[in-house]
Amino acid sequence: MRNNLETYRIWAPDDALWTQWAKPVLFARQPSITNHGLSLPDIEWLDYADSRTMIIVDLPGSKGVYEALALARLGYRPVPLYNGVGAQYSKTIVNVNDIITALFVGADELTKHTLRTDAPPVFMLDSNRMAGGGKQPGAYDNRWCVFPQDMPSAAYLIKAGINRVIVRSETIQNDLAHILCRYQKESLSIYHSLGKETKLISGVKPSNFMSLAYRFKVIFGLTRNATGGFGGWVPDPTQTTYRGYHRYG
Amino acid sequence: MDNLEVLVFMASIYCACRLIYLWYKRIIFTWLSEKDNGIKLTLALLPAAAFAIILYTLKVLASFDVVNDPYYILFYIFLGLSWVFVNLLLVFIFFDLSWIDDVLGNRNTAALIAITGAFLGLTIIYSGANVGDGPGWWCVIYAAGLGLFAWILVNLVLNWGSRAFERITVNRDIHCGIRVGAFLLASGLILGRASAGDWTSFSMTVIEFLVGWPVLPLTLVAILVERYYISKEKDWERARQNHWFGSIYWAVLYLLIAVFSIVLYPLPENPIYGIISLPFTGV
Repeated sequence: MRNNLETYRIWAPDDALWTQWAKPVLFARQPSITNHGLSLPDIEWLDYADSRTMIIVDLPGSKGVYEALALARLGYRPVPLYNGVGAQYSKTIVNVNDIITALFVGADELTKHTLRTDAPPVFMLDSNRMAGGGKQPGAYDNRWCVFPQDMPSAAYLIKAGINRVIVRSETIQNDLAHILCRYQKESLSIYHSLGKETKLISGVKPSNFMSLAYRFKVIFGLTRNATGGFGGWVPDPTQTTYRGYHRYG
Repeated sequence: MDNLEVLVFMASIYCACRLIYLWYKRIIFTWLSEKDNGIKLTLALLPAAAFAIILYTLKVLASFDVVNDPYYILFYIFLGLSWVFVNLLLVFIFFDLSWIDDVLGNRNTAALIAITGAFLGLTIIYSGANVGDGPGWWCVIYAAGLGLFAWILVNLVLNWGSRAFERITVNRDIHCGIRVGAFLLASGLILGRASAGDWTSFSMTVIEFLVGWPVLPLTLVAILVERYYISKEKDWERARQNHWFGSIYWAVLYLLIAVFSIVLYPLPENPIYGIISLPFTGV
């Protein structure tokens, strides 16, 4: 089996246009299960790779990886944006183990496709990223959010020839709405796909839109990991042992 | 040292050591590719640069009872390092510039340049507040607080007029990063000079702080420059042009204006200031 860096390089090759947005967080450790089979879905809502269309896949767990790999068959470049760290032997608020397995197993599938370095991107998110309520004392809090800084700007997309964005998700989450509203402001068309067809949507401005303090406020409620991304122990008031709880900086 | 000073000293040592430890821990453990080693190296050098600037100020320009007292020099070094690292949090809150998320997490070079300017700007404001004679550490914090407040304000005005920080963090506009990074440093230089001087009273410190007025026209110039580049960006054909030369030109100009405005108001009384300004003024 490939090591972590080799696997990451398959998902984020140095020469690909969109690699600068890829997050290495879930490639930090190898999965415990590696003989996992891949069953990729049929893409019914898109016929071919359109160089003017960017896709955001925001589906729960490994479904997002499978959908992105199915889109890679059409010629799209999958870009993992997962930013929540996994903890192998502990209870985590967001379960990322199946995503890690899918990324490592899916690397083989990805090598089968010859993707252009400037192939249109499909950004991969986990719709469960903020699931689980809030901080639970004693648990490993690896909830995370996607911010406008984590994805290409509207200006960059327009320069790259992209004028349409399709969001493949069940709902549009608030953090993603901050990004989509910025795109809409710059006249990019936003479409939403539930899996069968796509429809044009008009964005609703989220609260704190374009606010300088928005990111700080959100991150203040999450737990950073020292190696990048989000993930850390929430201190249990009944325990006195300090386990590296860093909220912001 | 009195009891309060000992308490502040201990708190500063803890705060500085803890924050420096977390700073280097993140730099070492964050997974970046080899081509991003420059990011790590730049961040790694910043605390050393801050240490050197503060030490130089304390040894040469600080209060007469500090320059030859190693305990007080250590005291003000730890206080200064704590000041810089804690205020990086304000940079995140007010400017949405994060060394963790933008620089290490997103490998954003534009943000690296801006953070470097902010880090050095904060260091120089604190160092400026150490220049001159004064009765204690609290007058350093008061003068530096005035500088910090004005520094945050002028940079918020710059952002209000140009959305500069969004263009750095979201658009990853490296040219904007160069110009704004230089502005963060230049405004820090001017306001560091404004925070300097011998202590007389709280109200006189505010009045003496007004020598930092050149930061206002500098902010206006920076807004106009940013708006000029925004108008160029909207023209897609012209946006392909290379803005490196223009951005470096403006960055150097901001810094020259800052140096000129420092030389414009030499500090009175202490003869060492004359020695410092001699190469610039010839007087």
